[in-house]
Amino acid sequence: MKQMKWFTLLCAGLFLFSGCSEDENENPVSSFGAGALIVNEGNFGQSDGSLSFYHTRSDSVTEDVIKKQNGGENLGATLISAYEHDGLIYLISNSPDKIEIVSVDDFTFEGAPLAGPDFVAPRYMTVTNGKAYVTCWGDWDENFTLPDSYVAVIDLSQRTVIEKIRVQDGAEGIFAVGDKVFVANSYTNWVTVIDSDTDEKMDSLQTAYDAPNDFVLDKNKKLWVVCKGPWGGEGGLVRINSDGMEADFEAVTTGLSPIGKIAINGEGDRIYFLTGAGVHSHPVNSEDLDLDPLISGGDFYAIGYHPGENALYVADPKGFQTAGRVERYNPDGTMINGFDAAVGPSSFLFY
Amino acid sequence: MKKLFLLWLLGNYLFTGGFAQPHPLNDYGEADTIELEELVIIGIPIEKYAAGSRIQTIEKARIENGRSSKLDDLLARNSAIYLKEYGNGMLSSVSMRGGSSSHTAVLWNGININTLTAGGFDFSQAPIAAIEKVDIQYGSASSLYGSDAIGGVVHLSSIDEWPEKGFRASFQQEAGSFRTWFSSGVVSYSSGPFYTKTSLYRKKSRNNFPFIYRSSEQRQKNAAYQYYGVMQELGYRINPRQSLTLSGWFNHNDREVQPNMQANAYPVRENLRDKNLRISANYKLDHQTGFYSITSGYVHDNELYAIDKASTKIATRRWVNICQYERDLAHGLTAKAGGEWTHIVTDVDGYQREISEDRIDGFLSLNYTPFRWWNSTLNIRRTFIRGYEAPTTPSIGNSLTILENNNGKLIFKTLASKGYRIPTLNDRYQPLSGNPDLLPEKSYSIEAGVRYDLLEERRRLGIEATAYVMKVDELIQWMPIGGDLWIPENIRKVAVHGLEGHAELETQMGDLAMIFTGNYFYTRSINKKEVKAGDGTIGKQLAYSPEHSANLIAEARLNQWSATVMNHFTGRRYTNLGNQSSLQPYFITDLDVARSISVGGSICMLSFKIDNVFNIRYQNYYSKAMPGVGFHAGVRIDFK
Repeated sequence: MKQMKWFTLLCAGLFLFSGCSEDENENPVSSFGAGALIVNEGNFGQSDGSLSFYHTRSDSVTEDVIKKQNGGENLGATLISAYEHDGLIYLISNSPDKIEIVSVDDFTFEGAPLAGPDFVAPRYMTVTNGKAYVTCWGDWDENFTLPDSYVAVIDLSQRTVIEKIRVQDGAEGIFAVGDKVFVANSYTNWVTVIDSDTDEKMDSLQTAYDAPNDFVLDKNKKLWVVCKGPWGGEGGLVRINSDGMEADFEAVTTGLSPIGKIAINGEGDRIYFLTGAGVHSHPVNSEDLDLDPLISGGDFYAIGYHPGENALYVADPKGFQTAGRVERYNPDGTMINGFDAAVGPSSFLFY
Repeated sequence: MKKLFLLWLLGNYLFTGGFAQPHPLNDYGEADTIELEELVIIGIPIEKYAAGSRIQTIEKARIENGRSSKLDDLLARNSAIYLKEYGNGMLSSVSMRGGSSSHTAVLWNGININTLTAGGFDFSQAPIAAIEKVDIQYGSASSLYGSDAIGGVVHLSSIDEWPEKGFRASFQQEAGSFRTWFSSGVVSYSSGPFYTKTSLYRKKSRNNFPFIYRSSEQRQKNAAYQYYGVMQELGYRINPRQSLTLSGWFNHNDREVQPNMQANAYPVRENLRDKNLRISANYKLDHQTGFYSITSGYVHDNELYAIDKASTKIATRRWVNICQYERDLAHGLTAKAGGEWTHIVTDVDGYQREISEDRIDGFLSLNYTPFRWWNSTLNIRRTFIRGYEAPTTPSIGNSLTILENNNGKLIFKTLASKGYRIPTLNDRYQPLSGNPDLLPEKSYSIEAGVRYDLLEERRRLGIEATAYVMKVDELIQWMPIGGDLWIPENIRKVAVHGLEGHAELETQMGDLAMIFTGNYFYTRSINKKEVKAGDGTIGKQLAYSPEHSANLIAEARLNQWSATVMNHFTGRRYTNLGNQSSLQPYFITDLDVARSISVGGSICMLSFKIDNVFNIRYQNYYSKAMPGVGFHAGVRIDFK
């Protein structure tokens, strides 16, 4: 009895370093406990991207996680996105172009980064069929367009690039549904579909709105694409039937441009996306897009849904002049709390 | 109109023939009525309508000995200006009194040469080889010089004095670390009333200095640079009361953009190529009705930025015409009135159209000396741009001589002024984001200072301290409004207060002459308004604005030898407005040893320099490596 009490106290007090799990979070994967990992881009041009960790239990934040866990060594780049797979987190970075790999458990570096001439401006990653697929912008051409955008196919065990698949300009968001890999070519109005068995393009879908940016998959196995629209113009949402690979619903965000970030709740029946007006929510089975924001705000830069906590995480970068602020909301739009991250919080990984 | 006697820094006396009798000092802190050859006016002195202002003239010797380097190096070691450098030899921008790069007006022969598109001036593109004289005017001077002069003005002149009769030539060659080469040649001829002077210069550097990142040493990549240029001057003294001068300066600067230390192993192909052509023509007439000066200038800036295979052109042309008229109104009262007309035409790929704009300024100045010990100046200036409201900026300054005797003089100065900056062309005309109706940034400042000068037979001492308070409002900040779109807005407010201390000592002990020059400046530049609600940035020190900075130069000359030790200290700087991280303070020492040899009628000078003697590792800008110790050796031959 006494031992049980002592053990529980130990867990509660030392959650930071213990492997104790709490029932609140079904799948704790890190020694840091339950919470959220915040991906911070860093100051513009200063290669100082970082990770912050929000501990839900204690409502506290550990800043500069990489530096703290790696003996003072920073990421050393602008951090674009993070992807978790099989016990590792892939930190996709620019300036320099590289993918650092850290352990999901304690965020220590796991070997040398993926880098070199095969990675030219890497952006986002997904894994399927035993391989990793990373969108890369390629070099700028004479007119500041990106005609050399491609998807790098990586053998994760060897950490080598085995294929480079040409896609369309500005390849950005990437999402795997079964063996199909969908790529949002954000400088165009096309989504490319890659067959991961052959690592070749199998189809291209034209979206009703310009600048498709990112994807989420709903409970009906339908793939939602958020489109930013042209410069200063309206964007919209497109829903793709990933079996037939055609759009079966589209809705324009009248008078608004989505910024390109999208999230889905734990049940997979409601999506959330950001525009200049704030956070919008839309039930996946509804044919009416209600553009009244769930949460108003002019400059949100990141949105995520923590399935374990049933909480929306939203980040405001505060003009990129200082540490950004993250706020947690209930699905009904009421705020729970908020905390400071680092400069340019742009996405989340949930624990 | 009184003839004015232009007086060179007394430091020169030490090297050109020793001291004469000590003399009382005039209102500008300079020795008066020395019987030198009477010089024709080169212009209305900067100090004349700037009572109460702090003006520092960089010693001629520093300029002559620094010919192989650039203006940013000179300013960082000799003044109360903070330089922000994006790497070694890379773009460098000044910060005067906590302001940003675009809050300093840079004038060349009276013409504002700040970049019209992005604002500010890149001091790494001003080779000293092209400049004869540098004067720094601290504090707001928009009442005299118009837009941009909020933190101060840097006056560059291609002409310092009318050359003496005869033929002169000077050639210099220098080689240094990291594959650096410098060559220059200056040839001038003066027949008395007429002179011509031609300068050519070229510098090239591989700039592959070693630095340490993550405990291992790397060589800096993609940071090579090369610049070359030519300066041509013609002067014609029509008669003792009329003169005409023409200066043309072409500078070509080609440099790779230094990558961050973190990215050095995989550098991106990124470079900047700048071509700048600057021409000024000036006519002066000293007439019984008054003094007239007309300056006409042309500035063509042409920059090409390239990354990977992409490139974009940023070019502007401007024609500037300045007329000034000065006359005595009464005893002790002089007035100056004038106008300036600038016509701008852009050729910027990013604007997707050509923009042209005319700006007309009117200005009026009064210099009032009711008593010998009290000098007061009142200035006012206004810019007119069609369809745009620009402010009227007045200033009032006073200089009071508290103590004066045969050797020394103590002056108390005060100045109150309003300054402004017209938003840049990028702020106003960038497609989709630009706002042509952005308000001008405005500043209000007050300062007070004391200056003490002592001139003795074998010693000269100058000490100066200035305290100032400044408020800057409607500062423009580019803000993201949802995702990728950023727009400029007048949302910032900053308060700056600070202190500038300066001291110079020159002494002569037998054959040994020594000069010490030191500056200390304290700058507390505080953000007064949140950028975004609740961002917690009120009260924070601005980014890249050190609270404490100082420099000290000690020079010794004995017979043919001279040795100079230059030290400069830069305090902690925050890397963003939130002050979440900062860069360490650093202290750098440079050493310069030179020996001159007379060969026939010419002088040959051999010099050896060590930069960063103690091999200090430091960063001026976050993640840009800076070199450790470096050496150069050079030869200069002056023919007379």
